[in-house]
Amino acid sequence: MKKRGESHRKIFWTATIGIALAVVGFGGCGRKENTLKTAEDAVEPVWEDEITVMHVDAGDARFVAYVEELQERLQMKINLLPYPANADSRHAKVSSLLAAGDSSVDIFAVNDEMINAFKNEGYLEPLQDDVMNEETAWAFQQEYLRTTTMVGDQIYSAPYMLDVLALWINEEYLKEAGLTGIETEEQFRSFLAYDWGEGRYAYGGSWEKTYVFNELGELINLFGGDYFDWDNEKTREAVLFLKECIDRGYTPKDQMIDQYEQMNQKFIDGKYGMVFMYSGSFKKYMDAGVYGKDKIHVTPLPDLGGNHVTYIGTWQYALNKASKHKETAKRFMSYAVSREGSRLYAEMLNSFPARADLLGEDLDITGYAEICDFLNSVEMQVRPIPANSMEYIETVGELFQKYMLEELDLDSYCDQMQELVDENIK
Amino acid sequence: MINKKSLQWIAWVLILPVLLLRGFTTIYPIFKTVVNSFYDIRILSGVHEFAGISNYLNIFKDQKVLTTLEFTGIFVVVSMLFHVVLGVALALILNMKFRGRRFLRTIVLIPWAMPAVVIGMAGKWAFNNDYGLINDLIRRFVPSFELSWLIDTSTARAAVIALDLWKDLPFFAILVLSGLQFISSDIYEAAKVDGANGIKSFLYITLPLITRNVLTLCIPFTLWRLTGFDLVYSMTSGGPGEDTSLIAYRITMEAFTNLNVGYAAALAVLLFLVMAVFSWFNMRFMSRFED
Repeated sequence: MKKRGESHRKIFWTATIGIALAVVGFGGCGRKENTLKTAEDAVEPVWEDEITVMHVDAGDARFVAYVEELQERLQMKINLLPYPANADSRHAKVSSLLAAGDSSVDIFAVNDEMINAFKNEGYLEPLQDDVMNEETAWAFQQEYLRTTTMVGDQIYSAPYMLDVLALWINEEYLKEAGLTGIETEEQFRSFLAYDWGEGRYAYGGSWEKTYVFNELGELINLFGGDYFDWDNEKTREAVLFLKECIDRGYTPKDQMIDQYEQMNQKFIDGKYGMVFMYSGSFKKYMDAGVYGKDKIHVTPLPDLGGNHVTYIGTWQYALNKASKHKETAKRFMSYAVSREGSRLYAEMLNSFPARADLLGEDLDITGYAEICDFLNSVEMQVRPIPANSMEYIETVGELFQKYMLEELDLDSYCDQMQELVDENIK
Repeated sequence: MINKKSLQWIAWVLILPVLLLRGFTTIYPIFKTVVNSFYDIRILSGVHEFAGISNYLNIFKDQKVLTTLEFTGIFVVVSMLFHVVLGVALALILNMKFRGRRFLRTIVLIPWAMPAVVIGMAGKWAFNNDYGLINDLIRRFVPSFELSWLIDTSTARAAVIALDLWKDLPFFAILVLSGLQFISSDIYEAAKVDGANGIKSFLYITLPLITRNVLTLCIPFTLWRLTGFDLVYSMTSGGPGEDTSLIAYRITMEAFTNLNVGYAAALAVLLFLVMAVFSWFNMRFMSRFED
């Protein structure tokens, strides 16, 4: 019996060693192949100048192609580092790197929330003397530049991509409801009130506490309210409308944990009839095969008694003050925000240029005409974001969720929002 | 004859690198955190000034932190209670003789071996009303069941605790099991001869003999619950509102997202004190228990 056990053990060990050798052997083959590949790579041009860019699109093949093109044009090596997908984590990562004086990243791609947080603290290199000189700066929307990227006369970032908060609609929903559009209040209300059946909703949102801020402000504008005045009847009407959407089942309560990623997936899956979403998302709809006049497309804002005002935001390049490759980085940024560079980015990535002087020009971008039409029908507005952006945005979201969950009544909610706005923005 | 005391300096020289390393990586950060907790350091606002104990006073005025402390308390107590009760029960099951026992002991540890962030992200989907496997399972018995677990405070809290138990309970049970295996079967046989049934054997033999083991395990498991961060971070982001926010999560948000370093340091010191006091009480209790 013991002998049998021993022979089993021998077989076991022989097999194990055999497998291990095989794995090591294959590994060796793999290494050989890699060596060959490295030899091929060595043919690639070697540039003296090198920068590292932390970018939100680092994982996007289109962006990688754009960067490869830029490497050739600018004769520099551009290393890409990705961001965490979650907005909070992204913000925390950049905060930590900048506050620690880390020089491993030369350029950060930042959004409005991030630039508002970092521009005051001396972590970023001012750009008004070179990258964003007077001539270049004039090409951007001045109000946006002043409120978002500047502190005094200093410009701390260079916008490269415009995002417009637009209203998107699923055409199939419209047809089902027997409507041709939702531009009038009557049409909008009847679209909401239509019985869409189980698991389908007229309106979808992204009400996670760090995301709902955008939609809330947009709705307040649509109802003619004032984000800075929470005693304003129209402001309250907008908030009541959102509560009504939950109470009447126009929108699901569980979107309170949804960020854009989840909301977009549900919209693509046909669970929502309309959503407010930034223009950059049309790439997602296009990739999912649901973008088009007969499916998901942008629709004009409904007339709910307010102004046709919509939020805009941009992604921008900001230069790390601790960077050891400032001149190379500035060369990259100058090109990226030039007319030629902006056009190249817009066309290669199918996105909208931040330069106002390019909007309206003939650009080869899918959905460009549609967004231009939308922009022509609205007034663009900069989002009110204070320096402590994430803390503020998160608190706005928390209060909103508490109101929606009926932990706060309307008066307490509005009082606390007023207090928050007064403390942070006014 | 060589005087041993005169050679002690050699020992000190040998351990000096470790002492320096430990001092630099542990003692200095703790000291610096305590110092920072008395300063108002808000990097985003450019504030860096002495604030006395105001950071500590603000903790008890900050509704976010109060909600966080409330849930941290609930989380630690409820989770540990279930760890002890279900952990012991699971250990007893794993200690029984049945076919496939070894296999079960192995697979039961899989959740523990998975990273908490991954479990948190999976949990976010698992508790989703439309796509989640929890509701899917429930709907097999109650077809009309509808619940968005992570939306309401109580269900979101229950979901976080349930996921925490799912992850760490098996590890607790395996450690209790190791204690159970030290109990000689002779004792049970003698008790059986004396007429003790299963329940009496458990109450008068098993329980007293594993209590010390369980209490010892409670120290690190409670401390891990107190410093738990990743599960909530990836599963609920502390929501709805701040209702599932744990103290370690709050500290991380204040320190790394809001860059309120002074306030985060005060919260960290508070957590450190709670952990120190808890450990001291637990050790005192254990030594009394031994006596």
